[in-house]
Amino acid sequence: MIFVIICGLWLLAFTCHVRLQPARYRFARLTPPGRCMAIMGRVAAPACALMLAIRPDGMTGILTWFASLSITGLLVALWLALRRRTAA
Amino acid sequence: MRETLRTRLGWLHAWAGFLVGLIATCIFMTGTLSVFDEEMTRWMQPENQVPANAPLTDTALDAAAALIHEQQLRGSSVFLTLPSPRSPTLDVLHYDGQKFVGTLFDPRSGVPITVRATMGGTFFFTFHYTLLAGTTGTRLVDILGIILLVTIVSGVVIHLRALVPDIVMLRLSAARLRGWLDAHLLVGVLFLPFTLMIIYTGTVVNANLILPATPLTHLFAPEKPETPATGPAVTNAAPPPLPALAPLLATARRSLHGREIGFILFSPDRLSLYASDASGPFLTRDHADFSLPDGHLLGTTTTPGPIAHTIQAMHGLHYARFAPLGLRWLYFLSGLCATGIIASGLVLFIMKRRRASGLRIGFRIGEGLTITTVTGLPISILVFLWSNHLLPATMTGRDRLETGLLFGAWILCAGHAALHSTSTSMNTAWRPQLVMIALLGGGLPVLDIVTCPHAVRSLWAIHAGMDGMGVLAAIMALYARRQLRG
Repeated sequence: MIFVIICGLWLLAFTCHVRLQPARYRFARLTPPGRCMAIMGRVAAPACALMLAIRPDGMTGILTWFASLSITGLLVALWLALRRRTAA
Repeated sequence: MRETLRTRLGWLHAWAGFLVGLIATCIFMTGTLSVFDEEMTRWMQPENQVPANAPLTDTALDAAAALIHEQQLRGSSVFLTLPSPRSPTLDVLHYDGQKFVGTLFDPRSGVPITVRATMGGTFFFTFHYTLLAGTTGTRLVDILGIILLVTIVSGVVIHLRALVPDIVMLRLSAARLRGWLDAHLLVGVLFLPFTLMIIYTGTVVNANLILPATPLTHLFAPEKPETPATGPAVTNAAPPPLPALAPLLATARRSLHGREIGFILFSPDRLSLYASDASGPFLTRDHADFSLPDGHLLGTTTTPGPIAHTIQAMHGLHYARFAPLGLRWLYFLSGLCATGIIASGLVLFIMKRRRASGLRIGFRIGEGLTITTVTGLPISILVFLWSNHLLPATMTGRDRLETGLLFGAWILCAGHAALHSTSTSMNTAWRPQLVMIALLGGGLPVLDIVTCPHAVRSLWAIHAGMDGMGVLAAIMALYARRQLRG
């Protein structure tokens, strides 16, 4: 369950990251307050995920945190690629 | 100036990556399989149907102790591994020069279990760090690890500007080369923490072989032949009978701060109970010693200090024996992706040079070797698994035959790739090998159900996992084949 929440937080972080790069990922430009929120989300979500991950066990937690980064990032990239292909 | 640095690093990344990558793909692929080595052994020994967490009884310990004493009287040097959730049998083992062999006991009843002879998952573990070439192979793997680290650092420097912004960039609709490059970069960047950690720790755990504290003259001295472990470690006096092991286990657990015991070593005057590798992330060799024949506690041996803890953490991180099942799967998935990074790098190297050098003999050899590595090794691994289930369980020398068939299949794949290296399109070599992976991988569940129905029913999780991996390999191979056009 914790792993799912950590992945969810990484998903939030990647979503914020993608929205902050509108030209690269072909998204609409954010408004200044929206940009501010996205920057905060990009920093806060991984930090929260890390705290959640290391709470039960430090080393296992760090390994899980990195692994969830990789797997969630891969899923986000696949989703973006399919979206781009559909749009094309 | 900066462009010059990037260009030079690009050359280093490409050439070092390709030359090392051919062997590194094999090391990573077998290392990834080694994450589940115990489970693979259980899949390959369907006669062993002891459930995980079967309770260990005094009867079983007494039966094992009797066999150990009998072996000691015959001059054999044996040890005892205790049941764990991953390997629930009580095993009296010795090293035969290639693998650990011996008698498996049911921990509940103490009845010996007759299992088929096989290298099992140990084959992948041994191949991963020695390339089946002993200490020389381990040294080579270590040196390759260092070159791989250099390759990774050069790759990071080349891609530095787009590292964070393009972290989730994948353009499937772009040109084929662009798509492959995006896939290589995407997986490379996302799995960079794991890849760096696993290569660094892997290099450090055997660093003493290439950076010894002893003078270099010893390093290049001819290797001494290994003492056969089955050979008699003969002592003049007959070894004393063993005391009851159950009370010693309880005392040892208390002495080692509640850690479970993993295995017991026996020497003429004492026995040593070692903490289990699964008892924590620090892989130690902490143990409690007991005198023979009375079984009095002599003391405990631990290795304190920051340096010892650091190296224990490196071992623990690399071997991941402490990892619970979920984390083990994450290691496995990360290992698969790390293998994918190197394999995609090999394919990219070939694709980039096809137009300029496609007809050169060097290019043809390079592509042949890439095919042999990327598709040939999975085929031979699947042949290894198929032969395990198809060869008669009681056949003499079946373990050697299994390994022989693996290498035979690999050589055939190399020959097939070499044969097609004279044709204009190498797709004629890639395609049949991908189809072969699909057939062997997709057929694995059917083979398993037909040949070992009882084991599939009693240990369904292990069999579902292994067979599922076969099906996954088949799906990936079919997808790759579909992408090969023209």
